[in-house]
Amino acid sequence: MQSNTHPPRKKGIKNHYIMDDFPQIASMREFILHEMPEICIERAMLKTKFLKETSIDIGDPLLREAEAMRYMLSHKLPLIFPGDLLAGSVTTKRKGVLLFPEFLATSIWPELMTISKRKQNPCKISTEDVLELNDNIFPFWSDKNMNELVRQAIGEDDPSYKLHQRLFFFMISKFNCQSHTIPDFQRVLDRGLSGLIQQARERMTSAQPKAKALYNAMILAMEGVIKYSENLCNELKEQALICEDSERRHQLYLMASICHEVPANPARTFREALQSIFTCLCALFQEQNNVGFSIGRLDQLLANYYQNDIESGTLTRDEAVELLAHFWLKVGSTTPLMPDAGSYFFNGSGANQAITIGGCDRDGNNAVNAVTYLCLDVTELVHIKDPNIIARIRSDDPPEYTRRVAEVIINTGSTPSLVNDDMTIEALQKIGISLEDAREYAHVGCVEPTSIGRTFGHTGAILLNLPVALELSLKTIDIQEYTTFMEENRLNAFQTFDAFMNTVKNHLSFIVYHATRLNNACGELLKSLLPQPLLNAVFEGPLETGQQLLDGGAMYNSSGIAFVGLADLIDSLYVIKKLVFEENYLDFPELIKILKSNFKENEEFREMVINKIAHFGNGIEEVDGIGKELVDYLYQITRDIMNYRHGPYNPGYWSVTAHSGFGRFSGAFPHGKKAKEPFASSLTPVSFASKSGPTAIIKSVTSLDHAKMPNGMALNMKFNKSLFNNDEKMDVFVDLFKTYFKQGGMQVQFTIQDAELLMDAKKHPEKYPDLMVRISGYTAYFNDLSDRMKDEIINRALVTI
Amino acid sequence: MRDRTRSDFEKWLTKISFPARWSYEKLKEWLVDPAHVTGPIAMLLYDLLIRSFITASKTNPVFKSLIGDFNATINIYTKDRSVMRCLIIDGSLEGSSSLKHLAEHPDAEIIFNSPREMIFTLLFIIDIYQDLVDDTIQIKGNPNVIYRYLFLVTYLNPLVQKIKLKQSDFE
Repeated sequence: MQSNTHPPRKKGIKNHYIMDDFPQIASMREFILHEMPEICIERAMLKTKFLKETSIDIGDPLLREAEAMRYMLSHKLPLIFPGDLLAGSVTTKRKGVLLFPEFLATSIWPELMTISKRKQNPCKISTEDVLELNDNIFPFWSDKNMNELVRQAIGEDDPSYKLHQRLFFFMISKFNCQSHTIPDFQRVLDRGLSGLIQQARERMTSAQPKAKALYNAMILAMEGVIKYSENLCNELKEQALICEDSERRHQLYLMASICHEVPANPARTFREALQSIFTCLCALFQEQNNVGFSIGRLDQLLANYYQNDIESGTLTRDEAVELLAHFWLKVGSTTPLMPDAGSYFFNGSGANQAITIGGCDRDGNNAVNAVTYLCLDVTELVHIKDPNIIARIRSDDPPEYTRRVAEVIINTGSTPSLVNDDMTIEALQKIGISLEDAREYAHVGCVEPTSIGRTFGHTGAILLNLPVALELSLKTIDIQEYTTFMEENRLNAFQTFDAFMNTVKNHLSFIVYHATRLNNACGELLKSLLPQPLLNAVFEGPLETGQQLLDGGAMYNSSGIAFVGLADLIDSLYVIKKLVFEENYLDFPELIKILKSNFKENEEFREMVINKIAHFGNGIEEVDGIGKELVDYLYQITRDIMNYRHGPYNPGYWSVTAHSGFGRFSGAFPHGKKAKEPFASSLTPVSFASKSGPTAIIKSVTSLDHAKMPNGMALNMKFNKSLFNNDEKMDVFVDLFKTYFKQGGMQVQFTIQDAELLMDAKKHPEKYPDLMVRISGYTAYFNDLSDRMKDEIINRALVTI
Repeated sequence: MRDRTRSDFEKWLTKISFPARWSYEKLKEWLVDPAHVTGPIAMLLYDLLIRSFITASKTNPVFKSLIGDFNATINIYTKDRSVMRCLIIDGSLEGSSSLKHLAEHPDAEIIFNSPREMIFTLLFIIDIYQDLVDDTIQIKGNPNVIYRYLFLVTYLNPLVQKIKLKQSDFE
């Protein structure tokens, strides 16, 4: 039914769409690129007002949240901005920042009067909103948001809490969100919310009290969404009545009829399907912080609607491109709240709402279709950082698909990122996901593969600093109360490298234990703070069993850990192995002295280590073997720990910008990293260490077992754009990532920009508003990065082909 | 961020008079030696700064409006206890006051590693997150109380660029 052929594209140098074809999109895009985001307090205000005034039993979290959702959605402004082709908005601003006072919103309290002036991620805010937040909203949440509830529940002397407070061991994202999942939009498109409400009502009749309460909560929340859609419909009709432009009037009436129909009822057309998904997204973001909350396989969701509409003549390809481009811009118009300190770890990051394209169906057949190509065209046309586009790559892909993906990467300089289908499916099966469900995976946030609507995985639950385990082992950092496994004077007692390695492993285990322990405590609190009735309704499991997601009601339950700094840890351990244990070049006290002095007066030693000792990323088995051992060990210890929903933890290797954040708080390392310098991003080799070209990088990276990275991994590669000035190089580029995948690589992402251009962009940011680069799993505007991150991107090792 | 905040501050310093800049640099040099910064000096500086907070809480109508109904007891002290102060913010009564001892049941506590760290934080706008990482400052109690307190301090800080609030904004 779905065509695998690439339909003819329109015009432009390479037969692509160009912005001149879509003036409305061009103007929306200009706004998104150039305007400062504005803080929207609507959601926070409605929620606070409801809770202050409600007579509902506040002790029943599920009922409270469901009633709050119905209230918020019924009272949410039904906004249609000029030129909109999709109705509704997540915030009241064209480019807005959502506030969740249940989480970290109160941390911008000190910044309310300065946030529009700060250098990193400034946001507009009106004086009225500052006062509303200070006077009414934040004080209400002061003793009941996540930060305070955790402190009250476990006590600030709790060791896990204290480690979290130090910021450089691990970060628990539940202080800011749950999110990081993909709802089952297919059931909304197939049955409509009315159908799901009907199903919930039927199940209620014979359900146990707990399940009955869940069904009731789902119904209330879904009624709220339908009410919001009705309000949008009425607003569209009102705007149409006074609209003088006949073409726009027609658009508004068409949109009104669509909002009248969906998401209440099953979608019948491409337009209805896209609006239904978007309305549900707007509603879900009133319940969920928009951090890595992802959309799934949009090309699969829309393929049949597109095919039918094209065949019936009710939609043209150009119209579909324009609608999808609007969807991209609408999704990209919400940015997450970022306290100033957040730029240490999430510099330049958007909401990371991922859209995955390509891949296969449940039966394993290649699923690249006409909408897959539309998505690629739109990604290239719109060229914005959010949504985060991920292309699944398979050996049976049509050659024109792989080539088109490569073209879009080169033309945008960074997106989409690529993922190996076979390896990802294998990794998911390894953690107990059925083959069919594994095939229906999409990515969450940055790079985390998830079975859509079935895995409740909070994939970004923990970011964990791996190299700090070495600092603990060497005692180069002073946290006396936590150094439980060894004393400094015992360092020279190690007879073998293996014995030292065991100590490092013990410290890794120690950090993982405390991170997961705190995450589990936060998860328990989330049940009373923010159960998610609407998400429960659009997920496989809760509606069928009556068990809510936070109690383990999804088909697959897990939590994700992202390990940061693996390459640095491998390299440093290898230096210790070589110089301390094998060559007796120096002993531990001498090494520690050098590290504590940050190589001061030991620059020669540092040069020697960088230039003469082997590093990860050069295809040397002995070095890579340390990495393999660590990956195996981390897989074993994380999978053995249960989360608060009785599911396992899944390890992954990606870093957002935490490699820079953790690095900034770290000391000098044996492999030559100086104090405060960033660690290598994700699974990418250390930049000064990679000297043997892409084949060696691939050999090293694929020597690690990617099937033991079910929470995903990211490999950054940087090329000069001028390299791709002929077709031959394009073929080599395609061969490069296909070879990497054949050898077992799971994911790879590219930044394709000339170094001179990046340096010029650092000096003259105004000239490059849409210059995009890959960070670690996500795309960011170069201008949004701190100088530190800009330098990191500029200094990343160039790969030549 | 510590570097950025400092460089902002130092950029601002270039705009002020030479004697003030000279004094600032000299003070910084002098403070580098921990022996120069004793508890009584830190306490004196704190008392001077907190006096402006207390005065504003009683006399500045905009500041009073920002305090609103905020009631909080915040202990501020050094680990060696050479500085021990308690700030009581009472939005519903007479404004704020400072006690020369620690409250038994504070809502929050800011604990400095040493009088020197305290002086640096008060004078040179040190980044509080870096201080948490370095373990030079500890924060105990409800973090939201600290956030609200820092919001009020920001209003009084003449060195930061911020939204201008007028009495009419509250009417």
